[in-house]
Amino acid sequence: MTDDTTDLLVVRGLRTTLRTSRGPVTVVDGADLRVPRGSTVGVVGESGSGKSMFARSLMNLLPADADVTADEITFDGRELDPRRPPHRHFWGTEISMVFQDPMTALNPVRTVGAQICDPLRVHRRMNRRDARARAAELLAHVGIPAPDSRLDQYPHELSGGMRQRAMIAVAIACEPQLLIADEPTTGLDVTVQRQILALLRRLKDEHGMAMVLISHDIALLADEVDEVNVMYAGEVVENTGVAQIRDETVRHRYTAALLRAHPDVDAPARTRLESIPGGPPDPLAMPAGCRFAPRCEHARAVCATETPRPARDPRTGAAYACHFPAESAEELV
Amino acid sequence: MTVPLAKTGGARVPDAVWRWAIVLLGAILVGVALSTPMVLPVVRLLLGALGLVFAYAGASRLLRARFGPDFDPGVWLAGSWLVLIVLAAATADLLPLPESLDPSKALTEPTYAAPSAAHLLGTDQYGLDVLGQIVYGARVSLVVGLGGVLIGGTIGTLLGLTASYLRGRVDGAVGWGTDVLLSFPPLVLLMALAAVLEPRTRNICLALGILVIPSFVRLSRAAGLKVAGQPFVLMARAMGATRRRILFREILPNILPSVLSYALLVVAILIVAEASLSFLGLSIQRPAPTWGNMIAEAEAEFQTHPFLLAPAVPLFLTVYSINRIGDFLRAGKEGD
Amino acid sequence: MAGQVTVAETRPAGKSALPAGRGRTRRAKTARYVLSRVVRLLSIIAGVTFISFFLLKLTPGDPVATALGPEATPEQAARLRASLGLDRPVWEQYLDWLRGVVTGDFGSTLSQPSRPVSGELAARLPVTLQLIGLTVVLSLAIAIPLAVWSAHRAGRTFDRAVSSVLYGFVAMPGFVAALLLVMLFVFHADAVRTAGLALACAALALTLVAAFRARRREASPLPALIGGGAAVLVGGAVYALLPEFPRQGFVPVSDGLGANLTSVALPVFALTFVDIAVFTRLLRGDLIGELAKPHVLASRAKGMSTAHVLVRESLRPSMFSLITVVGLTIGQLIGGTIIVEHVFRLPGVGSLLVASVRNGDYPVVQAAIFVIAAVYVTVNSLIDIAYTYLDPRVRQVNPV
Repeated sequence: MTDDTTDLLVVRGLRTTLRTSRGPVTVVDGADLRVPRGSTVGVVGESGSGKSMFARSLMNLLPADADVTADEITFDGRELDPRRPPHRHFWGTEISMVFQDPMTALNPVRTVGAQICDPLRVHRRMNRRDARARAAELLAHVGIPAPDSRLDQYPHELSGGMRQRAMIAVAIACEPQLLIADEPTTGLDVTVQRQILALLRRLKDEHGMAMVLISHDIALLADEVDEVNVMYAGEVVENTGVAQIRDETVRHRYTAALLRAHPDVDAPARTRLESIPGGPPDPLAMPAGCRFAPRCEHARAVCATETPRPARDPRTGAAYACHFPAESAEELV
Repeated sequence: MTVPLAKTGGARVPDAVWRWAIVLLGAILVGVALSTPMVLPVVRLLLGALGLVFAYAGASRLLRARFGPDFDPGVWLAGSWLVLIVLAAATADLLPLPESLDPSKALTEPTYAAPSAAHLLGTDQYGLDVLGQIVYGARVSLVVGLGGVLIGGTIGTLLGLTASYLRGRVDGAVGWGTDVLLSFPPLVLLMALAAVLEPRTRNICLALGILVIPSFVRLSRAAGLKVAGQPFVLMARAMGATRRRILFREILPNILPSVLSYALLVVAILIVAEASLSFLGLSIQRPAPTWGNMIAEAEAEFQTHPFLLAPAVPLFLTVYSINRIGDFLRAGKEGD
Repeated sequence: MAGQVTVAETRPAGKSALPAGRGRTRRAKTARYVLSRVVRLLSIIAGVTFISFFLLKLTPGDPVATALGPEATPEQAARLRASLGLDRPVWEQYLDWLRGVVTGDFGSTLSQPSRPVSGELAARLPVTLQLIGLTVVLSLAIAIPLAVWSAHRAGRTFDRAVSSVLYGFVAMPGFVAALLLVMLFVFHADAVRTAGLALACAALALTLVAAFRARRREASPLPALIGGGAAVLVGGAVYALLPEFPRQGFVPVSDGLGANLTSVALPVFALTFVDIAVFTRLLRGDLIGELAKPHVLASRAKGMSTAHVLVRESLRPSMFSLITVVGLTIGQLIGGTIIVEHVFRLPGVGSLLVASVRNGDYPVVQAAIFVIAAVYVTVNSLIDIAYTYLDPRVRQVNPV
């Protein structure tokens, strides 16, 4: 069903379960993801929707008490075993990751240069001098001025935007095929956000990378991605093209509600998704039927009892799982 | 290198059988250790210890399977030991033990006797019963441990609280005094105090109390500062409450839990401190028994009479149990 | 794009505009910090002299009578009292003593024949310092790998076994540990050798089993081989190389390093028990906290090895608090050396202190307490100051 020549990453039916003191918690429940080569795919959802866990499951970067299973994970035509961490040279060279908070995602007691040199020395087996020279090139490449002097600074000596650039330099050091960016602009101010997104877009184009962009902000994604996966309570509830997001012809009621939380998609992303009443369900007590039903304005009796079956929009090709999908743009207003 | 026993075999045997097998193995090892006189005492000791470890590992698995994964048999054992030792110390005079205090009354007893039915842990150089001395020694250890904490804890907490509330010069002076006292290594300060004071139980309590004042000052000062900034204290001040009322009715009850849980651990520290002082011959003198001075006396003879080191066991167990219970209580408090 | 960096991204001017300017202000701040630490240190040492002097003035009994014994005539007593300055007011005596301390003169011993106290201390200090130094080094050498591996395997069998053994270490008073070691290594050295052999054999068997199982699960057998190999080596070394430890006494380095080390080995082992427990528990907790941080995840995401993650990413930030604790435990360690010097009859400051307290030789007690406390406070202040130079996080923030 998948064409390996176009899809870099195919994930089907991924489940991630964490063992906690209160019992097993399924944080990602049967999620699918398809990333075509050279494209940018977005994952959106509220905090607690499992999107970060989903990203970490893709890289198998979970705590030891997590169980990951999947029907299929294929990367670059190779079948991966989700139960076993990949060979570590897979990380950083095939798939790389940019994290949300560069202050904490960079080691506070090591210099920026040392942290950029790490993957070069390990994966590319460069010697100290070459790695350092390459690290300076990388810093310049991600738009940090005076890269040579920055190499010897510690993360706290850089501004937030600089740190995120340094973080990106670490991630692209070994020219991975796929970059997973988990909320790469959260906590930065708006101007810097735009610069970082522009940088990611430029790097993606120059290196022919594919990118998975994870955000809680659907408006931000609409500007950056080709395709959006909407996550709710550990499930991917809708997969749709960016055009449907832009002209607000999405089908799932949750996606529609997310869009309504941002009436003007072109406006700068500022507000959080607070206008949907209530919060995501407790993963230990998932509602039966549709998980969004308790918060959904359009829910009827069947929504609380039966899990909606995945459906496909014949016109746009979008996949969604909703009993009473939104029909047209008018209904959203 | 530990290899989990239960997992190496084909794992087809029911867990309960494994658990019972481990308990049984432990019991057999202990039995062998107790009943084979011809092997070296050290080997017997090691065998016995290994047996106890196995018995404990198996029993704790059985109990966890029975009472749920949060059941901690170690804590129950520790608690039972403390109850036992406190009861024994309290009722020492009533217990049917052979003479253990007055050498002149033990003239007919054998000296350096090995453990037997008459003397469960043998006798020392005067023919005094070792078990009886341990029981009386427990009394000293517990009294000085608790007494020292009571004295030091009360004074230290009051000083710390006052300093935290009054701030300014009082705080500076108390802080400096605390730093000075803390700059003496604990045993050194204790020895200096012991050199000044007559070695009697009351004075040892006093010395131990002085030893722990600074740490209680630090603890209560930090906790007091945290509480003093909270709205209900400001509220009480705004309502015109007196300083004393605020200190004792508003702040003290709030810091008391952390002070008490710390105090429990300090009891263990002081028991070791007193035992060390006793061991150096600077605490209560022979023939009055303390765990420390019994071991000091045994030091000369323990190559030929290893059983004279017996007081080390209750000393270890008591300190271990107090630490264990203290950690358990603290973990419980944080869990809430 | 490289030219598009805007002002918003660079830090506010003045705070980090030019490295040179920042360097100068930082140096000034650090100098002020160091100065304030030194002032505080001196005031505390002043307090220490005060307490060590006046506390011993309260000692019951007449020091002169103690020194001369019961047969002394009143004239002899008066002469000694005058020569010790005991006939003058206490304050004058204190100032005299302080003056002596500054010039390194701590008076003479009361016990006859009278010798200078400073000479006594100087002769004994190296023994105590050797004990402390070796104990710290050995404890760290054992504690750091234990803590790293426990943190890596937190909650697993290795971690649980280590932490329950360490629980026991903490509850083991120094003199009990010392006597146990004497019993094992001096009185029953043969049994220890046999146990070493048994350990080596058992470890060899278990290692092979573990390595084989690892191969079957297609995991790397390397950890099992390294751990088991270490156990085999230790056991074998115990069997083959266990030297004969003396029950008591000290051999100076000048009589051969080997003999010197054997004579201090058991005392040092006895002292390491508590330190290993304290260091391991602290470092393990710190490391577990550090391993949960995002930068560790990020490091794994860029494909760093487990060793790199554990050592470079987690151990390094945790080392700073470990250094502080090492300084603080030196106080406990000094108490411990008093005990082991007593048990093993080593000619250190501790055994001198014990003997002097027993004989009522108060000038020696005063001087010993002062020297010990002064060394302890100074070491900790140095660690505090070093901290601000070593930790880049603290180095940057204004040192207060």
